[in-house]
Amino acid sequence: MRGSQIIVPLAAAIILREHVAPILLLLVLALLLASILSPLVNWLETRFGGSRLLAVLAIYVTIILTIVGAAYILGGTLYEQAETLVSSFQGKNLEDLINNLKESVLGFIPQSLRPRAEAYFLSMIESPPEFLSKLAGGLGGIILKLADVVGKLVLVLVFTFILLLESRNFKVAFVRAVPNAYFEMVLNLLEKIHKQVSGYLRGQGMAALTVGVLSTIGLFLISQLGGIALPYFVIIGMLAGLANLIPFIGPFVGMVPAIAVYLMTPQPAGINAIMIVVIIVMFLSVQAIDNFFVSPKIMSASVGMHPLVVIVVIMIGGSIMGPLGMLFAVPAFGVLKVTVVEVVWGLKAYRIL
Amino acid sequence: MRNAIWENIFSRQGEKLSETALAISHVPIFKGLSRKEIREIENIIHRREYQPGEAIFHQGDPGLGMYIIVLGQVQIVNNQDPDNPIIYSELSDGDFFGDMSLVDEANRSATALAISNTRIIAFFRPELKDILTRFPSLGNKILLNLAEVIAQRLRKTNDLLIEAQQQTSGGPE
Repeated sequence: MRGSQIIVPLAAAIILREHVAPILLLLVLALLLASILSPLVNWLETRFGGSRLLAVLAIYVTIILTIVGAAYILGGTLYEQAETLVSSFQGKNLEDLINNLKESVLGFIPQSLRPRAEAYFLSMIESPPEFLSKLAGGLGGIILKLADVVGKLVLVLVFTFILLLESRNFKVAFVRAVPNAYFEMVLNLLEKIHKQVSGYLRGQGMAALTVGVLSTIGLFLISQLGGIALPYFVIIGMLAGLANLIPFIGPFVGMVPAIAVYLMTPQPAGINAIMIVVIIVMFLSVQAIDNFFVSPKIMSASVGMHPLVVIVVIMIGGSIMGPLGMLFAVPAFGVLKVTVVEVVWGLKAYRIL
Repeated sequence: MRNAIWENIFSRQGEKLSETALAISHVPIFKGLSRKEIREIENIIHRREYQPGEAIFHQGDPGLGMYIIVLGQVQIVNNQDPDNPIIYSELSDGDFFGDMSLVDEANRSATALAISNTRIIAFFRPELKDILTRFPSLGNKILLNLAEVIAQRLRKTNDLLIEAQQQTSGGPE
């Protein structure tokens, strides 16, 4: 029976859900990645005389060369910056950092409030705020878990490779298992969901890449031209790019650490309020470039979200998966939203709802 | 001893078209396709089987593409008034229907019902778009054939319209 082809694996997956869930998550990630890459594979397939294998291989070689190239160019700086940042937060330099921050900030505080501010900084040194120690633990954890992440990444890339290569056969086989009554609707929905989700993800990815690269270049230029010490600029730039996935809050996620690092690092020419303004203007300009030139051209699906929804979604993401969950909660919700919109459309159009 | 390589080379020469390929090759929109091109179509089409009385699609559903009957019989029915359904036509082996849906997503104008055990092939708009991206020359052949089918239908409709107009203008006198 056709239905059994769906029901049997589904029942097995529910019974073995504890073991299936982690693999399923990787499979979903691979599915999303394949969905982003598939238009490129289709385009290349024609150029390679109809060989899908060559098209997929070409993309994989390009991805690997890009990663190796980026690691070669940025890796050294990135590693040094990450190492210093982690060791700073692990308590060794925390006192120095807070002292630097104190000296920088006290200049901007009115004379009358200074004793109170000094007392506050002293209490910070005695009992470092909880978030800092949490962050230190988190960063250390990320470095330690790197091997695990790389292993999972390789697995996702392998899944994606197979999905890209066999996408048509998988689609035909999947659709074959659908009962006649829902066959056309399922195919129609698969097509629409694929189009919307891949468009949304490609748009988000491109916007994050643009903001990440521009912020890194911007911070580098500020540090060079402004003659200021701005360590961790690659990490901050990448963080700004990733944070761009979160609407409303994202732009500040890059701006705040950049200013904090500027204030915490001993500056040869002293702290200059104008440089803080320059950093803010740089991040706002990057946002403006993204909002006016990049996003409108690449965002195919309109996934408008109310600020309240964004905050609730981020909090839920955080409670499920911690900081990573907070970062990817909005894009994950975006994917879910376009999917639900299409499913509801399908159910109504085919008069099932 | 049998040699797989030579068998493979020579088997192509006298290779007979499969039942599906044969059905595809007789449909006007796949006219003039090479064996290789028909094989490409065979790889992406959907094969379905219907019981007597089972609907293939319903009037008012968004149209997704065309169906080709490999074996069996299909009734095209207008059942806007469920008490008085109007049977437009009865189709059998080699016939096709729903081809206009390859062009746009307009709703189905009638219901297609299997009236015997029926094996059909479905070729849909996403697959046509896929072919157009991957094999533009094959895609263009199909599009030209589709345009020809639509042009013939338009001409026929024009003739019927002129005939009807002549009948109305000459009628009351």
